[in-house]
Amino acid sequence: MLTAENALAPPFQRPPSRVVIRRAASYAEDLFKLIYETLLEFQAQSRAAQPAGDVPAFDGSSKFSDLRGKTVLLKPNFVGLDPLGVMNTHPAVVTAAREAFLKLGAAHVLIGDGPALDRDTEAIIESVKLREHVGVVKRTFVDLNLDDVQRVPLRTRASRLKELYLPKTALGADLVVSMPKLKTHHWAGVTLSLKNMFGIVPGGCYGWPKNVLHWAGIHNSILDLNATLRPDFAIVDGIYGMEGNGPIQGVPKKANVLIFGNDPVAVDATCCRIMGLLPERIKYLAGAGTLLGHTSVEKIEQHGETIESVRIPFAVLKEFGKLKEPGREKWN
Amino acid sequence: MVYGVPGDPVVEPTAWALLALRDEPNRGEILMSLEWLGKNLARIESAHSLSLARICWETYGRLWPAGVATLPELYARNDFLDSVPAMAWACLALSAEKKLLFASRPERSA
Repeated sequence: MLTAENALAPPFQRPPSRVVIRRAASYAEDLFKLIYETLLEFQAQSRAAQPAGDVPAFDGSSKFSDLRGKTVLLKPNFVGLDPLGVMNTHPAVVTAAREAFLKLGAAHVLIGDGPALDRDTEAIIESVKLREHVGVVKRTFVDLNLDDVQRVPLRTRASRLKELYLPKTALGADLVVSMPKLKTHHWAGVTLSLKNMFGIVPGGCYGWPKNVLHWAGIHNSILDLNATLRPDFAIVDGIYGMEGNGPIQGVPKKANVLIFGNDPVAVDATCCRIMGLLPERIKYLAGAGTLLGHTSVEKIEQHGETIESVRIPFAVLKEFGKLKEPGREKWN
Repeated sequence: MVYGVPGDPVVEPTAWALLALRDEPNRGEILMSLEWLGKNLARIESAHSLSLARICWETYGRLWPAGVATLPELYARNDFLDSVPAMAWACLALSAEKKLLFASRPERSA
């Protein structure tokens, strides 16, 4: 459904996006306080910047300004069995975000994902020890692979896909928060808040590992999916990321950051810059920058830490060497 | 291979593969996979994988070992996430009648 919050618009029609970078050295820190205070800042900014009349907000601002009674869906990246805790969004981050949104007044904060590799979602959430953080998982977690679905026409035609069945939990949420891990990806270059949305495509309809999206072109599918169900907010777990042959077989990379933003495109572009990569050379991000959000630094209001102060080079596979910033090609 | 790279073995797909190849029980790869599965039964934490592993294990005529989590234990802990497939596999795993699963595949045409 087309709403002002997720309107498709070229960069010159969009107001600047807001991205906040916070340092976090470990998952044992008080992440609730960090996330809650950051969300409060976004909420205050959203209230102050409420557009007048019919001017669209373009991001989740109008939803974010008053979360009372709202249903929030947190979409972490639970890609597979991860006993070492280096592949998936860490449950401490997910739980802290959940508690923060509840404190902001949300009526329900659900956690949902549809893992792409394993059909046994329960085994994955057991391996990441989600239960130890959130308690009875049944009350809070939705397996988006098996959720009830609704046929949704896609709003763009970047890929040959014209429609997708999507989970009703995601379509019905008032606020969708993409919560990826800061990772390289051996096909897409990087996997961040936009690529993370592959997880809402139900395996129950399309099988595993959701080849309908890969066959239709990974970059173009990311664009179509996010044009249709654009996350309202993004929180990236970069305390530990993954470099090299991500998103599964890469090497853990400690980056000590959490990245927040009301524009997933701007968040992903910022993450790339932190990783020492050029967002405009990532095909889907370049495309997203024309219609879904901002990639240009001039259009991203940077708060918290500066990119330069937290920048840490991520190794990439040889074929992605072109993504590296000039002069830093030898980071591998 | 997972996304073009070698992935770590996991219970559920291993059980599926073994079930699909149940007519070749003496092949070396099958025996190695069964040995791996047997060593990992005690580490299973989900009803879905446990059910499939048990169906697979008994399809190969092996006795279910002691020390493995039981379905009631897992159910009490997580309620299967309300997963219909997990519940279906659990019912099949606990069923005395497994004719469907024990039956050989149809003869291949020459």
